[in-house]
Amino acid sequence: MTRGKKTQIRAGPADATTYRMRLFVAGDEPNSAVARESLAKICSTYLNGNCQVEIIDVLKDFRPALQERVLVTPALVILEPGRRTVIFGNLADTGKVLAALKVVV
Amino acid sequence: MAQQGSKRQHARNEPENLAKIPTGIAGLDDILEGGFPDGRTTLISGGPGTGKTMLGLEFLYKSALAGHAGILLLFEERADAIRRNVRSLGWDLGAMEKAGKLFILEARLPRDAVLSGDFNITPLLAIIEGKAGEIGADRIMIDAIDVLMRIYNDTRREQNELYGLHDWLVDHGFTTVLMTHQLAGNLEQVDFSGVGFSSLIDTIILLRFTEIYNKITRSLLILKSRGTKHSNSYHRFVIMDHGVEMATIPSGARLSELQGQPSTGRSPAEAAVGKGDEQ
Repeated sequence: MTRGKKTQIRAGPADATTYRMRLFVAGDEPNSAVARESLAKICSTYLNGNCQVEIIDVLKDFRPALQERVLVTPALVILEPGRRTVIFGNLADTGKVLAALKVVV
Repeated sequence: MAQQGSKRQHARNEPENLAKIPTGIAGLDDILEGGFPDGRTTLISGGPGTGKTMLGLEFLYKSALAGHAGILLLFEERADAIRRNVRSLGWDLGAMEKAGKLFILEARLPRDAVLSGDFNITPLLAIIEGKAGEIGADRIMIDAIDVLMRIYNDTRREQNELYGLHDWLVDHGFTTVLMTHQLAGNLEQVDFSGVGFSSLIDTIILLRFTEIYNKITRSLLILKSRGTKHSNSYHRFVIMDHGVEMATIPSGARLSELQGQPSTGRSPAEAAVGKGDEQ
């Protein structure tokens, strides 16, 4: 298995909610690069940096994508809080990502 | 990707000498002069219930029986429904899957999927390539290609992605059967999803219902078969208890069978072709 390393970004202690997510990318595809940036920005701006993001590259191993039925990249699988939700796309539409994360701005 | 591409370069340059692989369907190989073009793409177009899925499944199933592994991508129907539906024909897809001769990927995007921005189908291709490597699959059925392309929600983009996918399949040496609902009964719209796509495709088969002696029967028309002197006639076919069978019309002995087999029939074989649980 070649799952990516876990990245923990902690910016502020204000909100204790931890967001556990899995970001499926396809190497350096432009959409995947945009998704990484978008997610980093969303984490620091709206989630107090309380993000645990596991980055999975489908080009290195197709099995995790098959297991989770992720057929397009980028795809953000939100594991916690709440029930499992999947957002497809490069996460450029911040409003939709926040809505799926149930973050009120 | 590059090495496999060169493997098919020869076929690309000489479309008139296409090697064929048997379809597994009684009578169809004669009409197609040997079968589907090896390492190339065949488009099967038809409306609901015309037998598209059935034709493709028989190809994959008979291939698997003969030891050639294949991949089935389902963008509409559930894999379970397909497995159940063909059981009445005596086809055990599950056994083929266990034997590593068939891989079924239920590839429907979840209805409640959230979309945020642009995306690519890279994981889908990675999974196809990965599984094909694992089980040694060289043939693939995509049911249906127009449903997959609909995720882009942009005609221009669909066209580009379709070209891209087609190239990818050819470069990887897959013998591909693409199902589509488009073109159904509409001979003028051969170029589905954009100008020129059909010129890339080597074989185009149109499925439709036709009326004969006040009965509706299924029939098949070869719209295009590169390098083959194919007939311009509709060929009636029936779904028998063992699969698809071409019928010779009007003078053939199968006429009685046709007349006894209305398309709305509820025989197990007929039910297997329908949309199953989707209806």
